[in-house]
Amino acid sequence: MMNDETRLLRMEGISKRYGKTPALEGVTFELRRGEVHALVGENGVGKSTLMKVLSGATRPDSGTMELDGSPYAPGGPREALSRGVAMIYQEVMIAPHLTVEANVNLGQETGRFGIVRRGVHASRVRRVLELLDHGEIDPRERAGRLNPAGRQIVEIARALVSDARVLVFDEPTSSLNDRDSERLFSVISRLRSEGLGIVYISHFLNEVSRVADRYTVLRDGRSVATGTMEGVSTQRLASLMVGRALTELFPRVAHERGEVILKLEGVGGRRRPIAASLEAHRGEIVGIAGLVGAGRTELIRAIYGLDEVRRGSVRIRGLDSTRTNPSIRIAQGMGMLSEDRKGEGLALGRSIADNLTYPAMAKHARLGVLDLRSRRREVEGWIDRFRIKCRGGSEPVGRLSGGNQQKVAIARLFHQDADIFLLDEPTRGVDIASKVEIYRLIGEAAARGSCVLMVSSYLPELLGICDRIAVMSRGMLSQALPVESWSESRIMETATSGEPPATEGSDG
Amino acid sequence: MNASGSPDFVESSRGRRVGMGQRLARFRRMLGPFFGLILITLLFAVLTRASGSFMTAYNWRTIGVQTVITATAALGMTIVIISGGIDLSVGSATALVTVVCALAVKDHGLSSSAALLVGVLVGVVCGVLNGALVVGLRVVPFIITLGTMKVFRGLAKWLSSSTSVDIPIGARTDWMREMLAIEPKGWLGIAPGIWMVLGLAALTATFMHVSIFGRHVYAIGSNQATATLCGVKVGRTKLWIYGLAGLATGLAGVLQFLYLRGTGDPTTADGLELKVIAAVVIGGGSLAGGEGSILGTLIGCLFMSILDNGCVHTGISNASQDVIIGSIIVAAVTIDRLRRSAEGPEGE
Repeated sequence: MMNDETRLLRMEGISKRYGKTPALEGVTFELRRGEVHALVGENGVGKSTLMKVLSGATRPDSGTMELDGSPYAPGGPREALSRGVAMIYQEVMIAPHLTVEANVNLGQETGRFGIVRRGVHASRVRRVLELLDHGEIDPRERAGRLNPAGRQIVEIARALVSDARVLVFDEPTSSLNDRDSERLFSVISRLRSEGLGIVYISHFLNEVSRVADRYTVLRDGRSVATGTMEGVSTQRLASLMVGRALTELFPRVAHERGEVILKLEGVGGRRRPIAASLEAHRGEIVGIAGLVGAGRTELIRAIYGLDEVRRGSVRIRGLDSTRTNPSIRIAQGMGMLSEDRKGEGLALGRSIADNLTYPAMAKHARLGVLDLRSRRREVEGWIDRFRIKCRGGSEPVGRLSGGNQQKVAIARLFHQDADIFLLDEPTRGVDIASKVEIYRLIGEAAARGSCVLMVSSYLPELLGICDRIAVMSRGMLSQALPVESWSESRIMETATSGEPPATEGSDG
Repeated sequence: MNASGSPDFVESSRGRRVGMGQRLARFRRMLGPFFGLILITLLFAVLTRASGSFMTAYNWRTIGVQTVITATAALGMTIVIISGGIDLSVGSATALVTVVCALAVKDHGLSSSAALLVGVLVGVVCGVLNGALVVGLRVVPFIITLGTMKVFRGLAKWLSSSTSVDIPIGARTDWMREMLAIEPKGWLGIAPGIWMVLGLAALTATFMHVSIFGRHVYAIGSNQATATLCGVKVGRTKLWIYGLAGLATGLAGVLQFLYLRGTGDPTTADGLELKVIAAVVIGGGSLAGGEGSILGTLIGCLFMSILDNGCVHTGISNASQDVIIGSIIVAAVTIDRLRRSAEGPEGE
């Protein structure tokens, strides 16, 4: 039984409806001082709604909240912050042009007659960064120059400056590499030992089982299970989330390797990659592993013609096609999925139908005039086939969940009849059920004779669905070897080979 | 593969040495516009070497005086542009201020100094109105100020019955003439107007640097969502931003009134806003917000004045002048962008 001493936050019987659809139905959630509490569940089960209630962004229809033993009903994020509840968002919220110091103090400046007290600010930031064990970040650096991990630290520091007692992390590792994730975990455990209560939301169950002390599973707007992390397998968690026993995380669709369709010979770009050689076949899934910044994304971009190929050659169906641009590539049957879904991959404000048909709109047009009816029919077909949860083809993509947005982005490649799929982090920020479907779709692409080149930082999926894997390390692409000859540790070893000692490479 | 060299994943966040480098970078960012300034000066010096009329002390004083009005308005515009906004009503508001000043003296018998004060106040009101509309209606500032640009111009014409308003000869005092004199008595031979704008610029630059308000302006321009999330009172800050811009425009209008030797002209300062915006952007301001500096803006203003003045001295036709000036503005900003993207990641 929990006593009032350790209890920090209690949410009880929280319900919320949007129109007719219930988002939350009587959810109960408890957070103790000095614990990391994982909140897990698939997309659309109400995790974000629950956190919106907690942060005051939305008011529940019914239910009560208690913080530190007194009633808590924030009218908005500002009030929540003043009560000590802070959110670390998946989309990092910083002002890129401001210095780290200005970002950390933003909205909490202390001044005398409106003049910033620099000394107070600087020492405050330094103290917090030391506490986070990230003293190497220079407070005078522009925040926009930091990498994603550094930006996240800025956000955490901001929360600490505001004396947060409850800290909510929403998918904090989705844009971090393994090393930065490790550092984040140690930051989180420091915060825990400071007595903060931490809510940790993530799709990565292996991660959750490492950092969390307890868990609560949300399914269809209800809290279906809660308990201590010890002795609970990730398989069990996944089953609780889905509500049925998960048989297969990496469904394999049988496919057969055909002739070489894409051949890279010593491809080099402006800075990255340095040299990449590869032969990719029809009916084959080739994975590209490596650390963030090793040049994987740059390779994909160079092949697709978004970046210049400075050295080497790209051959498609045996013909040299090194100098190119995306519109030529599309005509050649190549399609690319961007790692930056929101910034580059999709036009969030435009409809599903538009986004799905951008590269091949001509299919539905005569003399430049769109036949909207035929397009609508076809789009509805894709929505069914890809199980995209939406209100219809005219719904703006920005309103969909991450997983469904990603399905639209992938459906686009199928719609344009791509033969060569370049996929950059196809399952980033996507829930488990959608991941499984995306794996199935990738398998289907290979089964119909397409070649899939897939970049991923999530090693289990590369090992789970690829036929061959090549590893990018500091701009050099290794030989692509059959998946059987790789293991997670072997990939990491290859990816980090030629690195300086770990102490040198500490980045924020 | 060898084990030396810098690791990939350290993109740019290595600590310690950045502080110095960052200060240097800020200095370098100023260097571009400054270099451009020297370049066009040399260009015109060469082009006018036959007459020699460009590189004279007298002409440089003229350029200084010609810069004052643009620079005054540009101080406000810099703040607006840093916040990610824009103010297209500057020219019209300036004309309105000159008309109000003239009418105050002529029809209401106010003393010249009182009239100037009223003029500044009119500028502030115009600015606050812009701010209130931007915040209250949640319409982008481009549209709001496009509208008020027409409104202020119309008001100026309506008040003045569409003709210029002259104040009585007796009301034109000596100090008014001295304010923007090319060769004033005393003041180290530099017009008081120039001293004033330099003083204001120093004040504004310091204020933007050390005040909480200044930080919030940069934050809003850099990422408004973040600023809101962090509890910055975005609406109130914007009201202040446009109010301050109005103050600057009011001062510019008063100076314009003095420049016209005590005339209120409803058609004056046509297109001033574009000149001011160009100056801010040449000085490193970004129309996307988050970037810009007062020093850069001053350099930009000087750049624009030298361009105007130099073209006159080379004796090229008026029509060609416009084409040349337009092209140089585009080229200057383009070069600056290229240079900066070569410098590496900046912001987003």
